[in-house]
Amino acid sequence: MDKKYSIFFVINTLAICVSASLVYGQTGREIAIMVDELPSPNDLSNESTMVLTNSKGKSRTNKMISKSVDGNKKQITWFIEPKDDRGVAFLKIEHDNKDDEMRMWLPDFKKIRRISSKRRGDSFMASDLSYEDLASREIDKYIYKRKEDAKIDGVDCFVVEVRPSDKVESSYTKHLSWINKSTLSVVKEESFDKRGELLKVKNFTHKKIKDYYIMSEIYVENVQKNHSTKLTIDKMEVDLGVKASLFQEKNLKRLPR
Amino acid sequence: MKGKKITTTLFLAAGLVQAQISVSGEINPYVMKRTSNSSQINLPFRLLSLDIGYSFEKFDIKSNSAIEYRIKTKKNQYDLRELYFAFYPEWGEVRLGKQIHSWGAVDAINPTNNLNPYDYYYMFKVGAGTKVGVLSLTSTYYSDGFQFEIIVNPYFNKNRIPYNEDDFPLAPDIEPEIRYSPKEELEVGLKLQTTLSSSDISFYYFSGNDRAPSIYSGMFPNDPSADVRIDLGYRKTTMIGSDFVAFIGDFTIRGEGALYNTKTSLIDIAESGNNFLVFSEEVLYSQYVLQFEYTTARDLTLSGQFIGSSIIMDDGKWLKDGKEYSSNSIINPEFSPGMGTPFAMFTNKALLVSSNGVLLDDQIEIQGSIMLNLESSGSFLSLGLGYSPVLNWKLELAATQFAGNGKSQDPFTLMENFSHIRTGLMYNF
Repeated sequence: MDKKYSIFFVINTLAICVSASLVYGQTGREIAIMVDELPSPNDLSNESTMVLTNSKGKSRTNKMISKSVDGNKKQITWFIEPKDDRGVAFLKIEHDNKDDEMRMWLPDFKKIRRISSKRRGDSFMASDLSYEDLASREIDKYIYKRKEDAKIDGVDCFVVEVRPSDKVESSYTKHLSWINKSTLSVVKEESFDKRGELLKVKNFTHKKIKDYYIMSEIYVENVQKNHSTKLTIDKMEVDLGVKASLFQEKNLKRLPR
Repeated sequence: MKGKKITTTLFLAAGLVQAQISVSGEINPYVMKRTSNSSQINLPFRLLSLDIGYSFEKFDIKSNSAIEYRIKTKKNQYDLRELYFAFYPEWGEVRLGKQIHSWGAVDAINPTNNLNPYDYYYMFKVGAGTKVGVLSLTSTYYSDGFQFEIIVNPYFNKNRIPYNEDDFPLAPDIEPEIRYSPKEELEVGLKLQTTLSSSDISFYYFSGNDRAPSIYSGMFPNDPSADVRIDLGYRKTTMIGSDFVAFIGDFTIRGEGALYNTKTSLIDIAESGNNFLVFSEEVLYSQYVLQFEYTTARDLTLSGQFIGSSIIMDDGKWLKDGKEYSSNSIINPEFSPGMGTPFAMFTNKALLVSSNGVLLDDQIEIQGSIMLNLESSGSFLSLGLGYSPVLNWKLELAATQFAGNGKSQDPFTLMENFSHIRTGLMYNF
């Protein structure tokens, strides 16, 4: 059970951090730094829906509520649907100098269980997103190479190749990212597996809230499994003044109103 | 007076607007049929489980109730399993009421989890469903890097044992009369949890009464053909324990152990006569579990548990008029733990290997586990399959098989006739 979820976190991160690899003008690394320096909200609250669709076109839906602060370094997520998962909740706290803490509340067991945050390549809730897909990319742990600019749906984009350096463990050999030149948000990404073959194609939609470009939808297709996941942020609010004290174990047990 | 009434009304109205009521639960009918002869196993099960919660600001009222149903007799029974009030101040949480606590870092088999008695009707289930709710006051203080919890149970509570159940092999024939009630009912539990580097470590203390009775005294007539009378009571037991969670590479390691000191209390009822003996016993024993977990690339979780228990010191003796009494015809009863995991009664050393995973976007759940008795031959095999063709509905199929060593008193052997196939339906709402 916990495997299914252990990967989950950092949904909100994508809005800000996948983009953190890339931007304008010059070299791939310089683009990445510019994206990384984009303003981000102090806190983020959302309700999201994730639809998994298999090769036969059959789909299943998950719903959750999430709140985060410090650029998603602290995040708490409560599962609402499916009903047998209602009340299951996760708490993630990232640390700079030690492993992240991930804890899960299992109502049926009345137990808070600490789970591993090390397996970045694992699937997030049986979806096509992995923990690694949803996590921040630290600038210095990747190698960037700018490719020829391109258009996606009529939008001018930078194209940057991102390869993990030996400072980071990754389940990918490289990513190709398309970045909107005007907003500096990532609109598309292709990820290649350890054999160098295309594994996933991700499309991102962003929404401007206050001064921030926040991701409002991800559509991921695993081209090798012919399986897709669509994650839609239904309600999103920023800078609500979410307190750091929310990110305590006791709050895992309480579904937010 | 009128102003006060209006204020109260407004307050209540505001409360209703801001409060949240939640209702959820499951309906889970199932039948169990023996693998030996396909006969039905007639034991009660929770047909309906219902969770109702009411939240307002920093307060919650939570309840969990169940309708227990028995197919053969078509009788049902309402069980209010939990009903408690919770308050969440900035520093932590406070809970008061009938509740189920859950201690221990290891899965399913927790030597430290002694705050609630076991419900033996559900001993092969996992989670809080195996426990009986008790009235208690709990307070947990959270701080950076550690948390401290205190739990007070004002009243003594015993295990729910399936007496006189033909279909439950380990069930005693009749409920024994308990002659000696616990003198001190108040029970106290303390927990300290902290994080060391990337690991969690916890320490536990619990002082309470055994959940199962043991021998306290007896009347041994001189006439060998006359019945011997055995009197039962609940020993006082103190537990200290610890657990940890650590991550090494792709492996998760969980460990949990507890040390128990149990002793019979001094009894007030003294009978005259040469044939009345008091059994005085003090035992130090331990239970421990070491668990390894690994998840494959296909999200299949594998775990292995080494489960052990041992008696470190056993000082039991019959007393007559306060002095030790020995006789070839009266032997000391074998020690039986009244606290800790029920699986300790199966064997002192066991290996439990489990696996579970999901397929087809969570539509199919698979699980399997095997417990091997490392002291003698004996095993317990469990396989389960869940299929959810429609959201919130699930068809369940499970098989459980016991194999013993052929000896009549071996728990695995006794359970052989309990081997069964279970088919059921689960609806979550």
